[in-house]
Amino acid sequence: MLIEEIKKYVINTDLSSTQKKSLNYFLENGFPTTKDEDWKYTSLKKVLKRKYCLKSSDFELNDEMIQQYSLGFKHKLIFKNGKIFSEPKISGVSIKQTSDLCMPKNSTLCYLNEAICKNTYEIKFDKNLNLDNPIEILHFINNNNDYFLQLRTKITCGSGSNVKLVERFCNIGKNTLINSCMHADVKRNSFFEISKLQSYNDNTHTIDNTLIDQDRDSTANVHTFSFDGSFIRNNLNFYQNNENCTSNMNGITIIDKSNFVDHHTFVDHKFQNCLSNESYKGVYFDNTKGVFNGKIMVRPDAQKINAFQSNNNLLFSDSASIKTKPQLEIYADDVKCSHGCTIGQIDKKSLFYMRSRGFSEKTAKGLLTFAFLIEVIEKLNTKEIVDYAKTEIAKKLSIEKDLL
Amino acid sequence: MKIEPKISEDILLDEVTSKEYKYGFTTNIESEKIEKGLNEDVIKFISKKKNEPDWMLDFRLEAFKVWKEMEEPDWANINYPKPDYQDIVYYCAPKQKKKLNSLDDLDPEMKRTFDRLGISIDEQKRLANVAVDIVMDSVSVATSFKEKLAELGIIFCPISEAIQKYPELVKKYIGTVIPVRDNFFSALNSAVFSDGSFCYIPKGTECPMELSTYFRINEAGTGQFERTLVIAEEGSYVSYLEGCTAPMRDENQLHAAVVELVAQDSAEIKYSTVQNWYPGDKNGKGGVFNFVTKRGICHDNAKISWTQVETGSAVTWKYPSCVLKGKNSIGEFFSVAVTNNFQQADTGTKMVHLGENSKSTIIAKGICAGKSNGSYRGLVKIAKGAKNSRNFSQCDSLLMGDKCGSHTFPYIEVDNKSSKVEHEATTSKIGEDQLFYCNQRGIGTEEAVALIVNGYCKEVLNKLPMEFAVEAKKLLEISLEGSVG
Repeated sequence: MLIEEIKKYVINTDLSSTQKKSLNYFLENGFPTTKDEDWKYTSLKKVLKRKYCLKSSDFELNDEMIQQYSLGFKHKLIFKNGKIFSEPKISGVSIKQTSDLCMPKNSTLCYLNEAICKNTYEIKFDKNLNLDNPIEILHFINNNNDYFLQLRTKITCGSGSNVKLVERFCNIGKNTLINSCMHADVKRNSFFEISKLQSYNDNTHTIDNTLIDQDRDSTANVHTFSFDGSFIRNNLNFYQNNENCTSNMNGITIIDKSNFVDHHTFVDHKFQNCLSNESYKGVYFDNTKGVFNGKIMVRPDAQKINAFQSNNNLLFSDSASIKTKPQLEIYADDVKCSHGCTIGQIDKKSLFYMRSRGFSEKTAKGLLTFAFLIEVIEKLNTKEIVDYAKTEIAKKLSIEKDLL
Repeated sequence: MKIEPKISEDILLDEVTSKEYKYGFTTNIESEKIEKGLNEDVIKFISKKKNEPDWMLDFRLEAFKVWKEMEEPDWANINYPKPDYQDIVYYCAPKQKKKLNSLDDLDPEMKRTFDRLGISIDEQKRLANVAVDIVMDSVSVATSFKEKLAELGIIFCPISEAIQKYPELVKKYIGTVIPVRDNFFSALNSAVFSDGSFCYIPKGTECPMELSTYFRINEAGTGQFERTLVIAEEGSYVSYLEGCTAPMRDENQLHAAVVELVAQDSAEIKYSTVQNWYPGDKNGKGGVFNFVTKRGICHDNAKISWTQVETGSAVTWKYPSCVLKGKNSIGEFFSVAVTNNFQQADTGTKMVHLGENSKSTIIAKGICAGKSNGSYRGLVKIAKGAKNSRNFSQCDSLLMGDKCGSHTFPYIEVDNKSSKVEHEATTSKIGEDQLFYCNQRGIGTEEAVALIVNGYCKEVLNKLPMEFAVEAKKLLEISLEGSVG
């Protein structure tokens, strides 16, 4: 049904030759199904069932709304239904719209994005730019009908630059399916960090594709916080294209109701002396479903690689489920690679210890759960984000934030 | 001089890679075989040859029908030329000159074969207290200790004999653990299996000896399709050993076995395998394709333990699994998989927890050398009803040489809140500091590697029955000669 809508939509649009190619590729292969290994546990069927429109409608956005959803960073880049509404003026940062931009892809959804996304933005950070404050990217979405939104951003971090981004969404409209593609080109000796704050409302479904190319001596960090949203699929790919790269991934997932979160990560170690670190923690309530798939690839001759991955989960309900697949593919011998994965509950003895000292069950459980997550929180170095994470976690665990 | 251990390690690895397969030879025994190819007539021929009842023939024909509609799976992390299933001889049996009453009547040539393999039947009979049911090219030719077992009511015989003598037992259990349509290779096996072993342990009986079968591919161009069925009735115990060696061949041979285990309430089955089919030469030419389906079902309080030492085969595709159906049932999987030269192994296990308080343990150790690829692929599934279930998995890989690959594909699915699952995996090579430590204390590099590899595998080797541990050690030596002490 959505495919028909897409076909109808493209008739009235001018497509470049690359876009046409991508469109044909998408139409040939369609949306991923559970028969694809990467989508084995993630069915798009329910999400795609709705009648989405592809055209955006306009709405009014005022400062009050922005204030409400902002975490209070100095620099704000605000999008309205995928179009830039306001941008920060920072020297050394250029933001421009392009129409035709080829980016790497990891699923047919990226092809679709390339073919039909109208607002592609390129954000460039100059050489040796040291951004003192993170840039907060705020997306406001509001449409009259159920909406299939394409977002497309290319980020270039010039060599020696230091860039931090924070991304947040706010959907005030109808059911929205977001298909977002972000490609970061992290040049030599630069530092790039993005925090994805995924507190969507119940009628937002998200497919987030983040691909990061890293050059020599660079560091890339991605922090993902999945707290709300009925359907979240994160595809996070790191390509280490030269020596001495570091990639860090951290994730906290706490979901309830019948929400669904799927994290797919992939680190491609192609050169020597690189490092990757991955830590994903999940807490699942009610009828939630969690999926984790972490793949680490060490190519032939990529020696002296250290790759660590851990995925820990707490299940708090019999109706919740978790499917996890930590995967290693290693073709070099002088490497240290490990992965660990656990699924369990709060330790009864610890709980008893706290209960016997006068904590209510809720508080005791909440504190122990927070302790379980703290390893990831301690890796965060931005005050606003730590604050955000603690607020959301306290809300989810129904304990007072001051306790954390 | 610090670089020295590295050099000697290289020399050592060279030695390993240049090692030819010791057990590669062919016995010249007259064989009776049919034309190549697979069709209904061939299945009818096999069935008739074995004088099988109609229900067995129907079972085979049904399987063939299913198989024809199936496609060969290609999801495993292995590359191999797909065998031409019409270019295989599906039945081949050594001509029996006369019925054998005792092992002494055995064909001298065949006996020599076993002797060269280091299996002295007499010796085992006397010393090791092992009953050996030797399968040579699909037909069992010697069975020992039968009478002693019969006293206890234990049935241990070729499955073809069981079909004749105990049809109701075979009919009741065959295809129940691994249904005909389970997968491509199990369907093929169900259609054409030539022979195999059948073992039945009655209620409350503890089998006094290790039951053991040696399989051996012999005739050129024949695939071997073994079928094993082990049934342990309530409260019984059995330890079953399976070991394989195959002669050297240039063309690829296909081995698609099916092993079904049924552990009734409170029964325990210990199934150990040492697999050393011909792995191909050092250029990756030849070697056996080993596509095996093994699965056991555990009822209440029952336990199934798989132990395997995989050193052979050009391609291995094998996942001994446990369905933990009953309450408090236990599944275990201990594996050492060694790959060298161009060998490829995609092996692991499935633990399906259905019953409450079910427990499973997975210890998988991979050793990859040369240009080989080893993969661990496992599934731990905890169903909603499997409350308080517990799983612990550990899969480690040891890489020797910079051209080999090691991969891990663990699938973990948990559907309730009271279960605990732990999984950990590491990949590394033998540390230079470890070697240095040994060298420093006067242990040569070769011995040091042996020590480290031995220690690395110990956890699994310790699980093998005593008699088998020797064999396992021997096979590890062949695969990584010089590396294992």
